[in-house]
Amino acid sequence: MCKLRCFDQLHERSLQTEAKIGGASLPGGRLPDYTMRANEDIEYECVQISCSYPKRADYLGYRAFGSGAMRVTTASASLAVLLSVLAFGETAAGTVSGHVQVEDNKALSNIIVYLESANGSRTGQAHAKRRVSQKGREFAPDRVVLVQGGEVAFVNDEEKEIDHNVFSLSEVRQFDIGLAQRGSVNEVTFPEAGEVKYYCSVHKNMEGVVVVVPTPYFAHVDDSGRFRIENVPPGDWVIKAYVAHHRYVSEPFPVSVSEAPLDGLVVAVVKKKRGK
Amino acid sequence: MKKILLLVLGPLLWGCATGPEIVKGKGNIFGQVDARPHKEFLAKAQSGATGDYMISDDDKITFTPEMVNYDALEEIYVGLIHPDHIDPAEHVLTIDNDRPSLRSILVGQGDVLKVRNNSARTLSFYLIDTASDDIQEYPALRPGQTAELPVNLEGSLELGADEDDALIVNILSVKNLVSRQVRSGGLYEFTGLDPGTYDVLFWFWRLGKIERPVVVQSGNNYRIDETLSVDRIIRQ
Repeated sequence: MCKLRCFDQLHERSLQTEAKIGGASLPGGRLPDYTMRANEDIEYECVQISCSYPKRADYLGYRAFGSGAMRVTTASASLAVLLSVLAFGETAAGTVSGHVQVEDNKALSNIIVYLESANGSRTGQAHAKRRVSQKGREFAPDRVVLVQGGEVAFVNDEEKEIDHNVFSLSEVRQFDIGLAQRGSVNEVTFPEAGEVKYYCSVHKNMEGVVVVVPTPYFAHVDDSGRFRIENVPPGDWVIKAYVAHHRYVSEPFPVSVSEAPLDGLVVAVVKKKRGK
Repeated sequence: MKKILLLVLGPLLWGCATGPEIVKGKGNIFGQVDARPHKEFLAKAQSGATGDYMISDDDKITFTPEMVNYDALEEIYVGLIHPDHIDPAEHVLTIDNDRPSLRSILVGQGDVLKVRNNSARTLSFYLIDTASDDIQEYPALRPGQTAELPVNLEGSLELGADEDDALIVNILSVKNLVSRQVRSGGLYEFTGLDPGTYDVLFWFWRLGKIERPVVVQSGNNYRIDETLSVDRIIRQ
């Protein structure tokens, strides 16, 4: 038995939704329990969302967890919040939380704490997609986190006839989507983990970053330095952090996850040193 | 592939090139480097599209202030790579009002960055390899001071300062390289070269790099023109 839930990761609350699974409509609100067979390929489509707070048209994404394979798609380009579609399997999952300690207490933004399999196995198969809009000659959001193997949909949402050419020269992922006209959607997959900077070759101030993490088990560090990763399968992991500021690097360490919450972890972020 | 290019380009270039005066027993490499928008953008502009696709009377694209003005790029670099190049060169960088005088520099590994701090605060510079955790740290530079910072790292680097997160200069460091800075449409030349095989590297930090091999024979000029654009550098 799995439970599916539309979840607003940005504001940490459930959404009023109407959804379809396997073509059958489901009522709004928290979705009912759904029996998920092993290796079942589920088509899950959020078709309508209402929110009680201002919509953020610039965020859209999914995370999928579960004991079976899962495919998540959306037909609505007007979805307005960052979504997580969570499927909780029968296996009890753990929680990993703590805070990030930056050397010299430097105030750093854009730190992502994530878990990597300790034995090097691939754990990033969960399908994930992010949406990056181009509007007003800006990328929105200009920084997204993606699970390895996931896709970013670059959408030209300009109100006027303004074309863009999104490209990247990153060693992790090079791409050139060509000239994208208003209304066009170009999907780019990111098979390798790492940082991918991208630009628009037409407009000089358009720059963005895709941070590709190896597993779906990641969390943004909040302003107070805290993080919380939920639904982590039990087992041995290595905890790491992506730090946008290249002067700094995290000091990874192993963690063993069980049903009991793993709280109070301290992830050190230090200045890079010669020879490290 | 490299050998095929040499075989094809060598005689072709040898046969038609004119250029700088040749010193006996030496050869020269020279040429012009341009940057241009994506080929699909050019095609649309030439089809008479409007908006960002304004064409001037002399058939050139009119770039608006929001656009990358490919005709006015000033930090295009051309580098010449040969195993015998070992003399370090100096590259001048000034920090004025917390802004660097250059956003990018192509250097040979072992070259020196001569940095003058004209800002109002002390700056502690570091150089980072963006593909690894390798780093070089330099002594703090007080306001008004100048220092020579050797570049020992190789690859795509960032020069930054601990006191100013926004101060970043993109550095491409290549072993055995001599570099020239030119503007879009500008000319470059490397003269007095011993016969041998060279690589000519063209780079703009936002567009990436293209390398062209050249076999230099004594008594000859070799003209190597290049155009930097996204579609030339990234081939799907």
